[in-house]
Amino acid sequence: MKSIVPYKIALLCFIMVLLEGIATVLTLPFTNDKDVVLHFLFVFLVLLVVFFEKSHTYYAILFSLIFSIMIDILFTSVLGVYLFSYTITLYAIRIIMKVFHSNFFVAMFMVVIGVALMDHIVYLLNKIILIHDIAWNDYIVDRFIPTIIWSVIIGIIFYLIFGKRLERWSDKKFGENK
Amino acid sequence: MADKKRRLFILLVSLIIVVGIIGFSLRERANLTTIEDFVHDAVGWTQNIINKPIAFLDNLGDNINEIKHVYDENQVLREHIDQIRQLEYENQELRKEISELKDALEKADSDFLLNFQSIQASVIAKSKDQWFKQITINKGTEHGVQPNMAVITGKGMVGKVQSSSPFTSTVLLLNGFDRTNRISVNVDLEDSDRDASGFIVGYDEETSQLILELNERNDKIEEGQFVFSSGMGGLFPKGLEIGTITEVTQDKYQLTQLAYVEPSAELDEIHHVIVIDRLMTTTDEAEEGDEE
Repeated sequence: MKSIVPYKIALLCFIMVLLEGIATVLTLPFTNDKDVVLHFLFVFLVLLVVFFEKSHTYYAILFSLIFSIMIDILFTSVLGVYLFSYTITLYAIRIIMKVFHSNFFVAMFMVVIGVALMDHIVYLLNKIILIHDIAWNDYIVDRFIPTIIWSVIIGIIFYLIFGKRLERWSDKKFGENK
Repeated sequence: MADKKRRLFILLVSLIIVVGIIGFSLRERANLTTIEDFVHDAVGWTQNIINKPIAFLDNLGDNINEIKHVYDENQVLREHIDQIRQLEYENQELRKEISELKDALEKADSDFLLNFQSIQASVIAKSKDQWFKQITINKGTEHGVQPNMAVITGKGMVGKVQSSSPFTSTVLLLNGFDRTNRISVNVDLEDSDRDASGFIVGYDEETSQLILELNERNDKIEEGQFVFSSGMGGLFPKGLEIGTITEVTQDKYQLTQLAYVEPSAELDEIHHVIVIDRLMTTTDEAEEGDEE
């Protein structure tokens, strides 16, 4: 039986991309003079790896490939930076997750580790291709710390909304294969 | 063993592809590929729909704030109206004089502020990454938006169109400008016949001000003077307000005069913009456009 679960997830990913564009137009609290980057899609994909993915499937990587190139096209003038950083980070998290059980604290830990790694790759790549020229210290204070804080907030909200649902979908999708 | 080799192979191939894509997109390109156009339009369309209720709520909040200050503003505005009447009269007289003088000179083309077609657009998305100073607007080539057109708000210039798809366009904001897309500007000197000319060459992140490089040393340049586009750069029409000078300094070799310019438009909060299509029409058409 074919399941529609992957399509549901794809639709959610698409909504995340839309949200990223819209949320930056609005002014958010505690973002004065700070460059906060809201990684809705990335946080969602991390939760997907933690709660949905089985050891033999590559759904998160696939969605990351499709939707991160979309982010590149829509929000940056350089293609490939987000594609590379999202996918490689999710792949790393996928490997780490073989050791951990999926629960709330592991998920939050993975969100923090993932966003930290991913944002640093974005910072380094953009620095190499001369998009910006910001010292690492300034980057940490102005962009990195607020981004991590917001990612955790987003992570908690997404866990409450999607955490249980993703596990249920995972059982539904992969349950009959056992 | 074979599995490990295959994984390494896939990793290396994908690395090469990523480097290839980055290299491809770093080139100076005026037109987007079909895939990019498609993604821009498809996402833009949905964003347009979602944005409507959000913009409504956002406006509601702003409106409530504004209502609180209505009385004070009203008093101030009344005073302004009297002054405006006088200005309007002056303006009319001057315009008459200009058209008379033009007739005398038999000069048909005018390239001033009035002489453009404007396209109204709304902002539907902003780059998630603040290192890319770009916003997306809901008008594209189908509505007449072309790359390199100037984009303004009511307060002043905000940027230029970087690329346009059929139904959406990407706008590069003033604070993302660098030496490859500088703006030719004039500084309005009140007690002098000639304006000082120069170029906006970049943006200072720390003070969040534009850097103006003046073509020649001029002692009359002071804080508070207005900076306008000069129309000499070829892209933007003459007379678009860019900002006010806040500081006059030298460059580090003391060779050129630099000035810091505070942008007139608030670049952080843009909701509605006007795209300026530079025309070289006759004065008659320009006057018609003005009456509307």
